[in-house]
Amino acid sequence: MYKQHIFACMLYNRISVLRSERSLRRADLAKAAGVNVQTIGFLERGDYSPSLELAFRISGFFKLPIEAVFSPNPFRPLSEQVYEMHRKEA
Amino acid sequence: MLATDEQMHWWGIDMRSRNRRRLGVLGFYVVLFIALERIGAHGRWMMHPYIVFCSMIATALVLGRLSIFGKNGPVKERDRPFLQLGKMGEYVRVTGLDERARYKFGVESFDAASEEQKSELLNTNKVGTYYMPKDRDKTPWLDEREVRERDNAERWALHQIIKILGMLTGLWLSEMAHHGKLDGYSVVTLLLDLGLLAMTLPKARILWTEPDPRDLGGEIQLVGGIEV
Repeated sequence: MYKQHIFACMLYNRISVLRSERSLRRADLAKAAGVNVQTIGFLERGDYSPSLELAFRISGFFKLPIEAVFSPNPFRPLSEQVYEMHRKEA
Repeated sequence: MLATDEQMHWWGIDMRSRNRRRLGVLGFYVVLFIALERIGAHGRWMMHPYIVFCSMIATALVLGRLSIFGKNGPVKERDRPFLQLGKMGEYVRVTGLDERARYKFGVESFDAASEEQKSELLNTNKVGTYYMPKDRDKTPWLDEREVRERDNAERWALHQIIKILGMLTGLWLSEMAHHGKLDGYSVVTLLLDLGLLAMTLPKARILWTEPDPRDLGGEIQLVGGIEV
């Protein structure tokens, strides 16, 4: 029951991929989001689900809609999605 | 709610490792309770009770200061340390709408703010005097995760203390029923122990459960440019 509760609250995110795409340090993102650096580490590992306010701040920082950064379901790899998109276009 | 990596040293020992922190916590409680027991056992028959209790409190305070729970240790303080708050160069005093408008939007006064800014100020203003960071972008002392962690640790500690207190009350009541009196000395000693637990348990839980900051992973970088 306890484990089910934990999984129900789990929020997946793409922060580490987005951050590395932009060559950002954790400290830069932490400063922009107004949190401590360790919290970014917790978020990237999926050990912490952010508040709605923080989720909006982070997605706003990346200039992406919130659902592109956070999801209650696991994300598919970006490379897979891009490849599929290109295949459809072709 | 662990301190930054630079502050994760205690007497020169790197305390980022969770096992080391756990050893530090266990060591503190073992040394503390042995020291208090020794003082109580020796002092009880030789010294005035006030002297015994003062010695116990002094020992607990000194050990606490020197231990992993001390200030500038691996765990951040609950609130921003007072002395740091006293460095007024880092803070500005904000009172009333004019100062709040100046602080938040950099305008001359409330009247000089735009309608949108005025509306936000009126909606968010809470009457009172506040000491705000001079640098508005400064990261808060504890962010939302740390506040939640702190609250969880304190709630857990409170549960433990209530449980212990409940058990002690039962013990004392049964002692009273059996002997017709209560040993005031043991009551005071146990209450002192409870007080010490109340002060240290929240930090102990954080030290015990927080993962090694190095396990949170390093900075990852994409290799070269990716062309699709």
